[in-house]
Formats: sequence, C-alpha cells, structure tokens
Amino acid sequence: MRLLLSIGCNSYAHLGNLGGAEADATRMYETLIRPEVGGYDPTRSRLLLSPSVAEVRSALAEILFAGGQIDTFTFFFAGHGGVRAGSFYMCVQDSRLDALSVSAQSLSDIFRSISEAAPAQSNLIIDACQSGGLIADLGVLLKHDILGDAGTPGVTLVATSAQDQGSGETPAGGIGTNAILDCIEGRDFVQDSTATLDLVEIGRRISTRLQGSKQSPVVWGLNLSGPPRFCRNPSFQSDPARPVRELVQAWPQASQEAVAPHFEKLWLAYTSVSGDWDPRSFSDSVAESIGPLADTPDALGNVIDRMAAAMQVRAEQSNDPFRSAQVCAALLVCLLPHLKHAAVQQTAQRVVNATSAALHSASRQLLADVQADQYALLDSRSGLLSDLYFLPMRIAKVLGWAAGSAYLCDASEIDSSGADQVFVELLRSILVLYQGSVQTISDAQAPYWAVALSRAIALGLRDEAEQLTGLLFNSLVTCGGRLARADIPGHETLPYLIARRTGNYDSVRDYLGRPIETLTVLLKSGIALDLVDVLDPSLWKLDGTSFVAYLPADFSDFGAPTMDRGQNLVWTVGQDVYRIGDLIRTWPPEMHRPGSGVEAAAATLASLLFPDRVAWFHFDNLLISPAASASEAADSAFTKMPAC
Amino acid sequence: MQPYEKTPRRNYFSDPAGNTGFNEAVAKYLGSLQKEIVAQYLSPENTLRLHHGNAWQNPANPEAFGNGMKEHSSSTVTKFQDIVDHKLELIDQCVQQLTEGMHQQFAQMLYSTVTDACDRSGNVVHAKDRPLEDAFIEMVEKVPFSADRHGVVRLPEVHAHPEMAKKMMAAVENAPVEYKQRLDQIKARKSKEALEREAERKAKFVSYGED
Repeated sequence: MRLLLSIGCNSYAHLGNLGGAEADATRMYETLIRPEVGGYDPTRSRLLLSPSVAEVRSALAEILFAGGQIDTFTFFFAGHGGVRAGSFYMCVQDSRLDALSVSAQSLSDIFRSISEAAPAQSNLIIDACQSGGLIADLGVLLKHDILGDAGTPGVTLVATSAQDQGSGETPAGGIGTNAILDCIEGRDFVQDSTATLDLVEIGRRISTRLQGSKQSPVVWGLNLSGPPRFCRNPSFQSDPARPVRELVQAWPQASQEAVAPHFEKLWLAYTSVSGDWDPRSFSDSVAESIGPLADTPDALGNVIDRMAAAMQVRAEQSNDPFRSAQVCAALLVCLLPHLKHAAVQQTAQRVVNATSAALHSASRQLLADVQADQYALLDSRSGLLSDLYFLPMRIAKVLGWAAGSAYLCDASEIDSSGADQVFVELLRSILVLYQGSVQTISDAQAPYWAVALSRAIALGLRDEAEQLTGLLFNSLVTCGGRLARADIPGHETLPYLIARRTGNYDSVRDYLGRPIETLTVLLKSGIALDLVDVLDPSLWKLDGTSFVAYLPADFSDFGAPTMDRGQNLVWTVGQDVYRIGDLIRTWPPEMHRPGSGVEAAAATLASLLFPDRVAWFHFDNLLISPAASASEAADSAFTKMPAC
Repeated sequence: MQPYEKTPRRNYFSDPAGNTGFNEAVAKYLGSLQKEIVAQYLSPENTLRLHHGNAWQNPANPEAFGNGMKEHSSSTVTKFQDIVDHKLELIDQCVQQLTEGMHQQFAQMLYSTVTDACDRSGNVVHAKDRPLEDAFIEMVEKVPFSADRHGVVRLPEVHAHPEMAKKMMAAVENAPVEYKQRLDQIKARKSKEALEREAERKAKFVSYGED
C-alpha cells in the first residue's frame, strides 16, 4: 500500500497568508497519485488545503493507523515553518508563533508516528521557510532507539530551504517543489539505471541544481532495503503505462529480510559519515550487513546502490571534501568479494563512477585551497605541534588519493586527463610548498606513496617522481629506517617524534614498524626510475632494515581486516639485499593481477582506506620497459663484481 | 547541500583521534615536567590535591591557608612555516617555553606566599647595614625546626638568589670559630625543641606506636 498525505497552507489566522502553498500541495498530490508516476492509493491518500492542526493530526492517524501494511508513506508540506527550542514545526491555519508546540505539527511527532507505523519506506518533503531548521531536530531523531530499533528500514527527508531562509515562491509555484516535480515528471534528469527513483536521489539532484541559489536543500535519509520507492523514474526505459506499484513489487525482496537485523548498525554507520569517520568500522558494518545477500547479487547491488546515494549526501556535510569519495570507496571495497556476479559488477561500476567524480571534485577543491592558502593543509583542529606527525601523513594521503582519482578514471567512464592534470599540479605544489614535510614518518604512508609514485612515473613525470623518491629515501635513511608502526596509538606519536629528534628510540621500540613496506615502495620506485646509481650507494645506511611486500592470492579479500592466502615476502638490507638489483632478481616473476578495471580500482581504494596493504600491481605495470634496463644494469653490475 | 553549521575552513584527512592522543601525550609530558619543578620546592608528601571548592580552610587553625586558588598559565607561539618545514626542535622549544613560564610563576607564587606569611607573623630578618653572618644567625634563630614522626630533625632550607647564597655561605664559612660554635649551639637547642614538640604532639594521642 502506497499512501500520500499532501498539505498546503495558504490561509493563516495568526500569520501572514501565502499564495502558492495550496497549489504546490495540489500539484504534488495529483502527480503522485497517477498510477504510472507515483502509484499512491487515491482512496487512502489525502490532500489537505489550509487545514487546522487537529485536521492534520487526524489525517495522519487515519493514514498511518487505519490498518494494512504500508509499503511507502510520503508526506508533503508547503507552508510556513518555524523553529522553537531546536524543534521544527509546520504551521497550519490555526498555528500561533507563540504556541507552536500546541498549535503546529511538529516534525518529531511525525517521526514518532512513522516509527510506530513502520512503513517500509517513508518520504518527507517540506517546502517551507526555515525548513532547514529541522536539521537541529534530526540530531535527536536520528538516535537509533527511535528509528533503528523500530524496524523502520528507511526514512528520507528533503527540505527545500535553509534555517534562515524563506521558501522561495514564484508564479509557477515554490522553487523547491518545482525542482522536485521536474525530477518526478522527467523535465530534469536524475539517473537512468533503475525503474524507480528514491527521494534521496531526487534530493541530491535538486541540491546540485539549486546550488548557488538562495535555496539550500537539506537532504537526509537512508533506504536500507528494497527498491527505490518514491516514484517512477521517467528516464528509465520501461513500459510507461506500467504502474509504479508493479515496478516496486517486481524488485527482489531478499534485501529487506537480510538487512533488517543490521538496521541499527547501518543507521549508526550512516550517521558517522559526516563526523569523525572510521573507514574500518564503517566497512565492517556494511560488509556484515550485505554478507547474507551473497547469493542474491541483484539485492546486494541494490542495497549498495541505495547506500551510495544516501551516504554520499550525508558525507557532503563533512568539512573534509574527500569524505564523500572515501565513503563511496568503502562501499566499493565491500563489493570486492562479490564481483564475480554481473549484477554486482554493474553496481560496482556505478560506484566507481561516483567515487571517481567525488574524488576529482575533492582534488580540485584541495588544489584550489592550496593555491589560495599555502597553509591549507594544516589542520585547524590540531594543537599544531601534532601536525609535525600528522602533516606528513596528510601529504601522503593527499597525493595518494589524488593519484587514485586518476587511476579510477581508467576504470570509469570519465576521461582521466582532468584528474591527471589536478594530480600533477598538486604534486608540483606540494614539492614546492611542503617540501619539508615530505617525510617518511609512518609505514601507514606506504600505500599512498605507492599510488602517487607509480602514477607520476606512468605519466612520465620523471623529475617529480625522482624528487619525491629522493626526499622520501633521504628521510628514511635519516631515521635509519625506523618508521612508526602503521597502527601506532595517537598517544605514542609524541614519544616517536621525540625519538626521531634525539635519535634514541629505546622508549618507542614497540611502536616501530618492522618490517616496513615503505622501503619496498621506494626501491620499486627506484627500479622503475632506474635510480640504481642514486640509491645503491646509500643502501648501506639502512643496513639491518627489514622490508616487506604482501602479494594477495586474489583481490576478493583485499578489503578484509586481515588476508591470509597471499605471499608475505620479506627481505633484509645487508642480508638479502645489498643493491636494488637484488630486489629485482628476487621479486616473484608472476603475481596475481586484478581481473578487471573495476577490481583494480577497488583494490587501489582498499589500499588507500586501509593503509596496511599496498597495490603492488601498479608498479608491475611500470616494469615493462624500465625494469628491463634496470635488470640489465643489475646483471652487468653483478658480472663486474668479484665474488664476495 | 550547504549545511549551515559547517566550519568555514576545510580540513583534509584530519585524524581527530590521533590528534587527541598526541595532545594528551603533550599534556602528560608537560604535567610530568611540572611535577619535577614542584618537587624542587615541595616534597610530594607536603602537597595537597584539591578536588572541590577553590581554597583550603582549617577550622582548627583559621589563620592557616587562605590564599585561595592561583591560576598559572603559559603560552608559546609556533609559526606555521616551522611546522611545514618539519622542524622537530619545535617540540623542545615549545616545551621549554611552557615549562619555563610555569616554573617562573610557580616560584613567584611560592615566594610571595612565604613572604606574606612572614610579614603577617613578623618572622622577618633584615640584613641591611649589618654583617650578613649576623642576619643569618638571627634567621636560624627565628625559624622553627621540625622533627618527623621518626624523630628525625629537618633543618630549614635556605632559598636564595645564587649570588646571595654564595655571599651568605662565604660569610658563614669565614666567620670566627666562636660564631660557628654559637650556630651549632642554636641548632642543637632548636633540634632539641623540635623533638620535644614532636613528643608533645604524639603525647596528645591516647596511645602512639602501640598495636
């Protein structure tokens, strides 16, 4: 059962009257009850024009609690809105600003009703002045005890003006309502991959469309199961006369049953993406939730599609422009074990495209920030001294992710030249502005250096790649190969820096990486750049340093917390390796490579999200010509060297 | 979407947990250095830790304490460029500046508290216009010695500017034998008095040292 409650209020007893709210509610109602557009049940759905608060409450009760399982509930409101004590209220005919709690409809009450009635999906659209103020409410409403435990798999909300803005009206109707109706009726393109649309997708589209206008839509929500349910997708090629209800019912039902036990965990994962986000716990929650869908790839792909749409919107609230790309990347990495299914590959390709676009956008933003402010990479939240440790880490990440953006283009349908250009400019800017902080500090930097160096080499940036390799190798030699462990606790980073300063590492021995992957990365880079003459003479300074490379048996578990089917190759300078040539000779001739561009993209992103693994295949792709010359050089060096 | 509570400055790849850990380690490190500074003046046994309120009151001795809480603060300036240049010596510089500032303020507070207490009690010795050794002996005469519960007498500590300390020691060492004998007698008498006071104190218990 698909039910709609559409409210528009023009006439106010205690507030100024409006001109177009009733028309907006009427247009929305008439559009959505059409079987081929919204498919909402006209016999149970309601249109209320300038109602009293009692009429609104009565209609809500009738729609949500008159009986029958509700598949989709959509609530639309156009009129005055107001915020009191952190709560958002929708004002109707008899509402008074000095008594909102008793004379207006509060958003939190609607959420409680939804939670109790538990429709499979609920959509709320609010086109009202100050409707952005409901963000304040959401912090409270998002608590999992209200939504997660209530068995409500999805609630989506789109509000089309910010807290301090009036909702714009035009002779043709409210700006926000018009934008939504354009998406519903096909005048604006959202996507063409599914037969039905989710309100989150429409919200994202109108956010982009209204960017720069006075309207700043608030989009919030997560549909955890089933198909998009809001309305038909006019851009999808399907029988235009087929009712939306049928399209929704034709969707595989496995996802809801499988995901339901994980609602609470997924809501928490969803709320985390705009704040202090931990890729590992996020990824573990998602992987655990979609695990039961391994045998129903359609449903699995659908869940990830829904999550990607909703999580990306949420991530855009973070003040880290890379968050959106990271969240998409984490979802993509969760698909690695399931890429053998064609349906999952299709979803993965869409997520690669979304990640690539988000990454490119973030990299461009970063480049603009660095060009405008040479200290843009310093963390405003840190105590500054901590940036002696975290700035070199950040520089590695920035270069790694920007280079990853270019790699992702290879696997997506986006031309990589733009991403490569941004990466090149960023690399050059960092080598000039942040040269002092291009330091090897932690072994957790290794995957980022690997992606950045291999891309720079692949692009023929010989000077930049040599400079970067040289700076890092020098830094590594200066500390005698004593890098912090990838998982060093935050409170040990100060003692580590003090040890770096004094050269006495006794107090931090437990927190040193041993063996390290950073040296392997630099030697591989040296091989690809044919830096034998530069690196070999200094290798003795790392005498006794062990270094490692983990080569996976395949990439299906490359996003897992630990992998156990691959090869853990370890060397020690002064025992196995005296020159770069020794590494070339002993590096395995064959190693597993990603089976597709999408798998390569996901594996690269896994190494950037979980920096205790390196995507070595990027270097192997570079070995074709330079390796031959380096190998020959090494061989000739050996023939000249007396046996010792 | 433009959330309206967004901070104007973007933070790239911030590590809040790592930062918190680092800053806690800095605070702990500074705390340990501060403890070392305080220990130069006060033994840990004589240090009371305040959990509630902002001053001590001793109902049995209303004259005691009464100075209330004194705030010490110290700041240091770090240039962005020095961080970007990865100057690890900044850690030493910052720590040194902060601890020096705290040390100075603590010492100032301690001596002003002692000065106030001496001024109030009249326990003040002036060295002007007379031999330093005479002032010294008057000072020893005025300071009550204390004995601990094990019967060990603690001689008073002398805190002085290094120059003044040098002069004082020279004056005492170069004084005639009679002066030194007199000083020893005062020390012996005051030690005896301290032990007697300690015995009197213990005698106020119903029993002391008995199981």
